[in-house]
Amino acid sequence: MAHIVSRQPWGVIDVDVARGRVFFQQDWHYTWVLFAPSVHPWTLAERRNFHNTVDRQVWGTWSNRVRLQVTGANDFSHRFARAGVGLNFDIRWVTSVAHWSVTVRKMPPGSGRTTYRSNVTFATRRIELDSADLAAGGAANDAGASTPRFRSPPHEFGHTLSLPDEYGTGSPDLADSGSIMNIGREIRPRHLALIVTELNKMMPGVTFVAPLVVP
Amino acid sequence: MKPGARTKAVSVSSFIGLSVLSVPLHADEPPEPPHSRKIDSGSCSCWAYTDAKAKVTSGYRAVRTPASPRAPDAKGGRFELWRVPGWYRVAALSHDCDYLVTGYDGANLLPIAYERGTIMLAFHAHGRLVRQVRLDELVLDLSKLRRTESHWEWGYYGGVEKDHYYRVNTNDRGSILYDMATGQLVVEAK
Repeated sequence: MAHIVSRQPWGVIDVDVARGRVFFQQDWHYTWVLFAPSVHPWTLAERRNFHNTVDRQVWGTWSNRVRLQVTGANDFSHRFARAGVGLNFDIRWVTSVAHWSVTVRKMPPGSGRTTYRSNVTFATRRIELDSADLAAGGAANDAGASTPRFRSPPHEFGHTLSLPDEYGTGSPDLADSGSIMNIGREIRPRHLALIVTELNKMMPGVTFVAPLVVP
Repeated sequence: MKPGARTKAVSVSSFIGLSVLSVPLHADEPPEPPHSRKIDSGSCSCWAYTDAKAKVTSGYRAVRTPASPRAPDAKGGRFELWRVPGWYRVAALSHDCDYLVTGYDGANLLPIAYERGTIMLAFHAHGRLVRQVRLDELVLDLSKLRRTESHWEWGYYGGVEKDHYYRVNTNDRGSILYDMATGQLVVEAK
């Protein structure tokens, strides 16, 4: 079973040529800190729960939402021209060399989702999260729209794909409040640009395209 | 789904990743919409309520005895202790509910074009503003602000400790404590 793999500083893209699947994986190295001295130390169960919940949320939001279209005069393109190619996402907790350094703050009880506002710096591959991110909560954008069940981890994951925020004034997608990079929960074809561009370098003669409409 | 055996490794340049570095990107958690909420003091006898619609924040004490010197409000069961204009995303209350500290609306993230005079902390005693702390008073070395994709992170608001002290962590000074009654710095330790 042949795989074609591209290892980038921000993650690994793995194309399963036989099955017509793309698998994208990032390795995260966590640093577990306390938001305040009064907060009880992280337990191993809490750390595991945090990682597993983030992984599930990212998986649920990003995976199997889009089937990439493939074209080209080659066997791979012919085999998957009709069905397209599935795309799946995964985060792996590692203890040594990682794509991303992730600091997670354990928050005191009663903290809101944005008591600490999580953020990502793509240039240094640094992610800052907190334990209150796991719960869904309200979010507002600069157009005056708001949503009640926003989830931060899948949004921050989008930034690890070099995606900009869409909730601020000046974003061309400010009106698209359903988008995960705005204040919603849905991914859009534009969110796959980095991966699709990379895929198009990996298999000469095969052109990957994100569909215009996400099923 | 985990990847299966990888039989062929293709090294591809990181052109894309590098090429986006020069483009200013937004990459931070969106704020919560304004919503009214109770601010706990840690005491069951008093609390505050910040009202997003009326844009006012009030301190309350539960009715304990009919002989209380303060008049109960219209809803009964509580006395209004004080009132401060405005609704606050970042707010904390002392254990006795006499002191309220409010913070910068963007929490730990400043806009790219921040102003040094941005009010980062406001201390209120019994509803009266006693001190404000500007950004350049809180973060003495502004070169220590950390650039995220769409903001500057200055540190974060830590919360109330020991009944009436308020902890703030800044990138340059580490963890510092303010007396909520006076707004004065009481402990600074890296």
